[in-house]
Order: sequence, then structure tokens, then C-alpha cells
Amino acid sequence: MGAIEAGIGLVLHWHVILTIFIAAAFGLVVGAIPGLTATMAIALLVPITFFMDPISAVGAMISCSAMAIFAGDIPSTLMRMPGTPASAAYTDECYAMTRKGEAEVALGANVLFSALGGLFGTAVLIVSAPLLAEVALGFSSFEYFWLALLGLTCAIFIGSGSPVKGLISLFLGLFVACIGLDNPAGIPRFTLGNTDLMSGVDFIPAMIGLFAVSEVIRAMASGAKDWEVKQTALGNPLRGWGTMFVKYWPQQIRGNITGTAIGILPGAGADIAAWVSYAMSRKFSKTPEKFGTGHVEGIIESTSSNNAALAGAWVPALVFGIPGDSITAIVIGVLYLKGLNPGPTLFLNNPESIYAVFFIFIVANLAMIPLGLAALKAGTALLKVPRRILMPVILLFCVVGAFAVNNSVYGIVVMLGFGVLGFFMEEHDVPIAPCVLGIVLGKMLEESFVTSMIKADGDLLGFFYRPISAGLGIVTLAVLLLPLWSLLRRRLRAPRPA
Amino acid sequence: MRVNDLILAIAVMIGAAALAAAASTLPPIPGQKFGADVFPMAIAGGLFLCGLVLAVQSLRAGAGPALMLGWAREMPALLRAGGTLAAVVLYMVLAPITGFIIASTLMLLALFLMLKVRPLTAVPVALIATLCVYYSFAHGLRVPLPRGLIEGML
Repeated sequence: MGAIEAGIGLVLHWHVILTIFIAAAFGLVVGAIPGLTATMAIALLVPITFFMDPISAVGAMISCSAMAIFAGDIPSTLMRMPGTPASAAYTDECYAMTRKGEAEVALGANVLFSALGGLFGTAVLIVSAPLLAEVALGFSSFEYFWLALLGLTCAIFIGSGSPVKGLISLFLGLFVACIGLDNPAGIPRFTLGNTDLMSGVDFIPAMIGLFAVSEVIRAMASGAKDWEVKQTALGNPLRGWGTMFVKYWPQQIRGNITGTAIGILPGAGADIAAWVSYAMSRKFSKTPEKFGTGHVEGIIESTSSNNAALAGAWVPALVFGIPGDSITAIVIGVLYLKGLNPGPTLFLNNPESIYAVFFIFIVANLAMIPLGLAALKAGTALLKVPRRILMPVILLFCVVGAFAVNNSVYGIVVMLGFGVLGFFMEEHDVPIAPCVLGIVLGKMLEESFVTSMIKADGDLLGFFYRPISAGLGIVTLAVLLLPLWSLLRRRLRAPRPA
Repeated sequence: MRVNDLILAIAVMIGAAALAAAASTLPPIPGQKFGADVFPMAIAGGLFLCGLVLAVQSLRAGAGPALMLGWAREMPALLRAGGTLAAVVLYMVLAPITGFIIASTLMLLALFLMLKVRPLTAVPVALIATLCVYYSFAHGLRVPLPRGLIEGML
């Protein structure tokens, strides 16, 4: 019990609580502005977390991401522009409600069920993470190899429209992870004689570039025109909370479970969870014909789901050091910098910080209700901030943030390079998330692969000798091969053209 | 602005070949079968395969025009995208000489003017945003932002 109390004690300091709330407000602002994603909010926050103690830093990232995912629903409801990709699945549905003059019901549902979904995901995190950590203590390089590979595989085959382009993105990320001295032989690899590159490509400037600078370039190219806000006067968002809660409880629970499960799956996060849940809600609904006409049922299920996924994604991140989505990918980078190296030993050596993380999740999701309601009032005003002012100021934040990581211009150069890369990737429909996971997981994948190969003396079957390793291997291969198999079957069944 | 998938695929395959060539020059670990070159070689192989599949896919689907300009057809859009990068480079060059405040104000000003913000708005906003960032980062977070004439006086 001592660790739980110590953990709560770590959070109950005024500076930690204050940080959590300021980060939440920041997340609300970034999430509510269309085009700025929750991942971008986190990437911009990271340079500032450098100057915080570990618990404040983690707290800031948790509350910021939770708020940003919820706030993405505000513009999607009012303007049919998803604030973050996680809202995209049910944007049309929310906007249809706005056209019927029921924007406040849609937004009220988003606040309530986002918070409840987040709390459900948190409960699963609290129960499952320590149990999994105990299992993970017995893991060797073989299991870690499969886990890393599973995460990367899921990111490609679940997340993107074109698996080939997803794979290209992933290999790009893995290549970036290769750069530097930190490899099995300890020799400078692909550094081109540059001393800055010896320590590898700086992760945080790269993230700022991929997620923030690329978006600024896109906005600048399009002239950063202002948005058109349709409905600005909102009624009482609390209207109908009771009835929705009672009437749609099966949808909520289903959304919560689906979201958490997809979150836990390495490599898939809130965006995908919302799409899957919306589709599921429609499929199991008694009134599927109402979907798309401004019906709250699907909104409830998918908005629960994306916030539940956010908490679920922390399970593999904390237990194995394998990110569940691109947000936790950045979080893992920060955990290492703060000396809270994720992995099962964290649960043994530093249990109080784990309990602090759990407690922050609860606080952040509870705070979402009052802050979210306040944001609905402020959100409409936020949408009127001229983008022509906003985008250049964001770029200045990026520049200063990238500089602050190492106090060197090298950070800005890395940021700019990855900004251009991210911009061109999106122009060509190459998804960014697999690249990020590749950068984060590259070292683990290489290390566990080379160590395992040396242990098994080059025998590839060695990866299947241990029971858990074999199980993980089979699952990974199944995820890899199933799409190919279904493609092949469709080909064979398709009638041949005469 | 985008090139078609066939050209993208060819670029990926060339990149993969270059990576393989670079990886093959990495020295082995004495007495070990698996060294620093194994992983990059695997990446190169994977990339090459992806390029091949993408090329086949796009040839089957009919590759379409080699270069789709889209927004890049409009000169102003292209200039703004390039100008954004140039503004950051301008900051990097100027900051060590003039200090953060002048460099950042000029960068913001350039960006605002590119987006046709009126100069009467652009100048004060650029200055205020710069000062806010300077105070919060240089004083609040103690980031050693480049110092010049003005910073010395503050």
C-alpha cells in the first residue's frame, strides 16, 4: 500500500496539479484548432517538459493528450472539420446534428463520454499493466523482438490505406534509427562524418518537424485562410446527459472495450479506434438507417472509444516500452530522458511513479468534464483566431522548441529536414505514424534481433523455441500474412475476364 | 505537388540500392556473424521490395501524369511554401549575429507579409510574439537563446 500512497503523494503538489491544468488548457487550444493534432500538441509540449520534474512532465503529457483528443470534437461538430484525426470518423454525424440545431447535445455527449471512456481505459491500465509486467519480467530478446515487430506490423496493416506506402514509411523510420554510434558494433553508421549525427538523429526535433512544421508548410502554401463558423450560440450542453447515459449504455461499454483493446494493440491508437467503433455501432444498431442523419448513438460509441484508446496505449508503453500509438511513441522518448525507462523493471524499482501515472490519468479524465464544458464556451471564440497570425507563431514555437532540446542550431536543422519530409510524405499519401514507430522501435528491433541471432547461433527457428516467443511470433506472422491471404483468395474467386 | 507512384517507386528503389551499398562498407565485428550491417541490409531489401510492388501496382493501374502540380501550379502557393523554409533559414543565419529578438521578429514579419497581413498589424504582432517567447524561454526556462545587442540591454 505504501507505494500507492507515495504515488498519490507525488502528484498532490501544487506545481504538479498546476502543470496538469495548464497542459490541459494547452491541449484544448491545440485540439480545438483544425489541422493541429493531439500528437502535434505533445510534440510542441516536449521541449518544455525538459524543464520539469519527471512526474510533472508525464502529467502534462497525459492531460494534454486527453484534452486534445476531446477538443478535436468541437470544430468537427461546429464546422465539419475534425480538430484531430481521431474525430474524423464521426465528424459528419456531429455536423448533421449541428444542422438540426442540436450542436450542444452532440458536444455534451462528446464531453461526457470522452471522460467516461478515458476512465474505463484507465481502469484497464491500472489492472492489467502490473499483471503484464510480471509476465514481462521473464521476457528475453526473442520476445522483445516479436513484440517490436508486432507493433510495427499492426501500424502498417491496420492504420493505412496502402500497406505498401505504410511499409515504405516504416523502413524510412527504421533507417533513421540506424544513424549514429549506438549499434551492435559501436561504429559510426551513416553519419557522413558529421559529429552531430554520431549520437543519432535527435528524436524530438524530428517529431516537431514531422507533425508541426509539415502542417505549417501546408497551411502557408494554401494561404492560411480563415474558417467559416456555422453555429456559434450554444444551448445547455448538459441537456440529455441522463437519458443518453441510460439509453445507450451498451454502446458506451462496447466503445470503451473496443477502444481500450485497439489502444493496447501496439501501433494502433485513437484514430483507428474511432473508425472501428463507429462502424461497429452502425452494424449492431437497431436503427442503422438513422446513422449519418445526426443520430447520437454512433457518436457516443466512437467518442468513448478514442479516449479509451488513449489510456490503453499506455499499457504496452509502460510495460514493454513499445508505443501503442504515435503519442505514446513520443512519451516513451521523454520517459527515457527523465530516467523512467519503461519496461517491467520500472514496476519493481519505481512503483510509486507508476501509481502516480495512474492517478494522473484519473485526475485528467475527471477534470475533462468541467474543463470541457468551459472549453465549449471558449472553443467557438478560438475558431475565430486568424490563421494568418497563428501559423507563423506556431513556427516560431517549433524553432525555439527544437533549439531548446540541445541548445544547438542542429536541432532546428533536423526539425526543418523532417518538416519537409513529412510534408512530402503526406502529399504522396505516405502515412507518418509508421515512420515514427520505426524511429522509436528501430533500436529495440535491431538489438533484440542481433542478440537473438547470436544466442541462437544464426538459427531462425530459435525465435520459436520459447513458448511465449512462439505465440507472439505466430500472431505477428498472422497479422502479416492474413491480408496477403485474403487478397489471394479474392483473386482466385474473382471471375476471369472472358 | 506530387510525382506519380511509378516515379516514387523508382526513387525508393534507388534509395534502397544506395543504402545497401553504404551498408556493405560497414566493417564486421571480429568473430561474429552478425554485425552493424545486418539490419541496414534488411531495411534496404525491404525498401527495394516495396518499391518493386509499388511500381507493379502503379503500372497496372495506369500510372497517370508524371507530375501532378496541384497547388504548386499556383506560383504564389509555391513561393509561400518555399518562403516558409527560407524564413527559418534566415533566422538560423541571422540569430548568431543579431541575437534572438531581431532574427525572430524579422522571421515572423516575413511570414506575416507572405500571408498578406497588413504591415500595421504585422509589425506589432511580430514584436510582441517575439518578446513573449523570449521572456518565457530565455528567462522562464533559462534556454540560452542567441544574444545580441538588444538582449544585452534587457
